[in-house]
Amino acid sequence: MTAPDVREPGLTHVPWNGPERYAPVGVPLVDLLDRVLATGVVVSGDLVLAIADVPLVRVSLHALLSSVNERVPSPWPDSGPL
Amino acid sequence: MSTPSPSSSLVCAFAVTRTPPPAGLPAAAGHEEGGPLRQLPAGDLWLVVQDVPVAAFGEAALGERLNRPADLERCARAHHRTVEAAARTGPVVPLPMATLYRSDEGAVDAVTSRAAALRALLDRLRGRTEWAVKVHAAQVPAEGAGEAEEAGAEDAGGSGGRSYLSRASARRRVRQDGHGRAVAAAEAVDAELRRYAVAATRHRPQSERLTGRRAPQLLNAAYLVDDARREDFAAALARLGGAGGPAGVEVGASGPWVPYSFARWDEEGDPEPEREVVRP
Repeated sequence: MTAPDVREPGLTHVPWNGPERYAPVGVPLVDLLDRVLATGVVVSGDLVLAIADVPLVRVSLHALLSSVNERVPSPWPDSGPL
Repeated sequence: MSTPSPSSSLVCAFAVTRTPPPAGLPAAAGHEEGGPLRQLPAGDLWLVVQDVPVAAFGEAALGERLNRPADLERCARAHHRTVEAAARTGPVVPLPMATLYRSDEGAVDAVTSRAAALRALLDRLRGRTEWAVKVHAAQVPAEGAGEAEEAGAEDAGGSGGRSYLSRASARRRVRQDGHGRAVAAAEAVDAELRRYAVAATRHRPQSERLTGRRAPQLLNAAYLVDDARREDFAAALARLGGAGGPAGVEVGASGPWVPYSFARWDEEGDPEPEREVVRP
């Protein structure tokens, strides 16, 4: 029996079609970063920081990817928008 | 008149909603470092916010933390958890991760000044979810294996330089043809799925290093799907990813997502009516 995701009782959760359909629920981090970093409405004003527009995101992705594969010197070789 | 928050904290905004969730927001959501989630009225809209400490969310501190993969992941997942919680009872417009204001007033002003556009976006996203679809070329046999085979044939046949070159170029041709067919198959997947979607957009394809595959990612797309068509969309996905789907590619999907990829507009513009995509 699979444990229900108690945090999100109201949501029909996700048949993430990984290699196996209906694999254990877990939002893939790379897909999540595509969404929370590169999208979303930017409402300006008294805004301290919205990191989607700030180079530190790219820097952190370097860090993230480096940790995925230490051997690779430049994990995000091509520039351009995320 | 406006009372700024104590300078030791910032206001982190997650999402804009039409109404406050009647049951309130779960205590478990939000960033671990911050206080409880709050809902701020902003005109006729609501904003989900949390007080977070400057020590962890000030520009320098945040920059440093987000450079640590574990912290980046925690931050992204906390943001996502909160946006999902806010979305449970109605449409939301998610804000980018780590949208920070100095005070409640600043956050509210930012929302009220774009209220009309935000209302239009909320209406557009109501009853719709996002589906992520990635198409990869089918995994190819390891390059090294091919070379070894080639070398073996060379030894056995002793067929000389010219035939080696023609074999090599034939192999290259096959590979290029294969790639062209896979790209066309990915486009066909996209065209088919768009039939069931209100809108579609594309993210930058993820690198092979990120996906951990040997084959390139040909399509990293997001589809905005009306709840009424969700079953049709899922059926199309199953067809495309099943045995009868296009040859030479692998189709993977995840969803339903809060429609992150469709909660955006051009700078200073209105929400785009149909965020159709410029083909690469």
